[in-house]
Amino acid sequence: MLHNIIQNYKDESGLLSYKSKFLPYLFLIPSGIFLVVFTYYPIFRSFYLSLFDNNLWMPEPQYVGLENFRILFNDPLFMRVIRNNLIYLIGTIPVIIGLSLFIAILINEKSKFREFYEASIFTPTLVPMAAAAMLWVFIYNPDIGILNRILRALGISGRAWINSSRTALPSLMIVMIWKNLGYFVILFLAGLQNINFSLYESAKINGASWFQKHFYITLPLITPTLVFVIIVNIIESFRVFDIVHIMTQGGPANATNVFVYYIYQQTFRYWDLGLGNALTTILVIVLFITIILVMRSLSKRIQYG
Amino acid sequence: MKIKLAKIKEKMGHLLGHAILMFIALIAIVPLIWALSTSIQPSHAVFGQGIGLIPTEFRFENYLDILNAAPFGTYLINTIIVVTFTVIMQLLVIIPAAYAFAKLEFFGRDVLFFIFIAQMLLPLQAIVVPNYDVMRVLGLINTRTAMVLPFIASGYGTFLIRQQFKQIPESLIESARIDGAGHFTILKHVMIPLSKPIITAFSLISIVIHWNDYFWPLIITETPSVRTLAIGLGMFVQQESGADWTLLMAGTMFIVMPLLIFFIFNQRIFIESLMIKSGMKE
Repeated sequence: MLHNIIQNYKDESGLLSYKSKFLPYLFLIPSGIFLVVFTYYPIFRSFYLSLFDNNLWMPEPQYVGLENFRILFNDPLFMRVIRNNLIYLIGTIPVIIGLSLFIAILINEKSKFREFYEASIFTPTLVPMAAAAMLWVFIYNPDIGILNRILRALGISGRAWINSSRTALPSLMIVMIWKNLGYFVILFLAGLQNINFSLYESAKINGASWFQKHFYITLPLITPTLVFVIIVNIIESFRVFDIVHIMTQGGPANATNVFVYYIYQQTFRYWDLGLGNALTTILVIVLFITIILVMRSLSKRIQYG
Repeated sequence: MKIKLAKIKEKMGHLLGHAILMFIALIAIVPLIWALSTSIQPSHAVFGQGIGLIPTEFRFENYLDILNAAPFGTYLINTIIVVTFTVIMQLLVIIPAAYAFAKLEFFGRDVLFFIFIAQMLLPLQAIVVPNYDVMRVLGLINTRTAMVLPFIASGYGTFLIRQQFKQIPESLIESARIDGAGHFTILKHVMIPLSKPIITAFSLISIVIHWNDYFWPLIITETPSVRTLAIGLGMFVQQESGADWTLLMAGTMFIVMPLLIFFIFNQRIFIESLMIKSGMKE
């Protein structure tokens, strides 16, 4: 080993020589430092600190074992938060995936106005979440909002969308769908470019309907993109925060309180760092397990065309 | 006859497709048009009858008013600083790492690659509590630096650029090497020029993401002097608390506009680069 290193050092001009065994690691160091300091070290620190009771008023964290987790899982509000997050996940993912794939297929079959469709459907993606949230607070405004204005014009009486606990969460979900849809349309459009057009031609000759064509050809061949889109959406659904913070502050009556908002409340409002770290631990583990399960179950189905 | 019917049916389907797309395109942009039109009207106009998509009275001073009501100019400069540094730092650390993972052989490469890209699965929202602590220890609370640091080692960027680097034929690198090129020269004259589209794509995505960052600046900033646009708008909303909709919409459009204008001028590059990026083949 040492001999080799010395040999290398002699052969070419040292550590930076082409064959140096250290060199690859040297290339990883800059990125690696940031990764360790701002991603992995914090996570493990959080795992460790989740075992302590700690808040702003305590002089020193106190070891309490799994007490923080016990508190959380006995907290009806935390259960509510998990429920909200699940509703959000189950409510948005199928809609986003179904709609964006459908729109992408439609756009892909058109040549006229194609650029217009792509550009306008993509536009909300560029709107900062904070701005989108503000925009939709205005749209949902019960008196002057455009939504109720249109409904009134149609003879339907509107409601106070984000101020009622029944409609608040679905209203936020609609905003997220509005904002994110275009991004996934473009991703699916890209995936569709890889499908050989002649497959559709022969299906057509064999009398396949539009639906059959896409169910038997498009869907299997687009699976790699589909897996990617599902994973991105799962992560997205656990990150939701901005919209809640601006539009509802978790209300009314915690109807829109979601995981990250709950972390924010516990940690940066009540300064309960022990619970904050326990919540971080739970979220990191949940994210990893969900994503690994999705990858496992879906990657088997990927077909390479 | 049968063929004719099928033709008509196809045509109808085609028209229906256009109708659906038109409708969705409208839903996508009408809210923005409405906000824009509200932002240039006098405040009493929002209580008028009708839908109010097209303004009848104008008041462009709303934009001057918001600049006086909150330091949006400072927010804009801060945003540009934070976004620029984030993207530059990302590219500086990601490109060498992507090169090592794509073209060099070393012990533990696959494990390290997994560790590098697993960062993608850990959004800052999930690890904000310990990261806040790290920033406190480093004395970086309420600084622009703190808004850049956690995003530099992007697993997503490492993954994208590594996939691209992998596709560059070994023979090109070999011949550069025979000409006496070192790693630095190879990166500068072979790898990077041949990967421009993907590097552009990543940079554009990163610009959009960090322009829009709200959560982390909310946690880490305490004074307007370091705040960025998105969080600045959030603060402005709280301070105005629903008083004047035309001003709120002017503020909203003020933070939307720069990216939209940027997009309008680079529309094809944007959409095409997004398309490349999801070409997820090995």
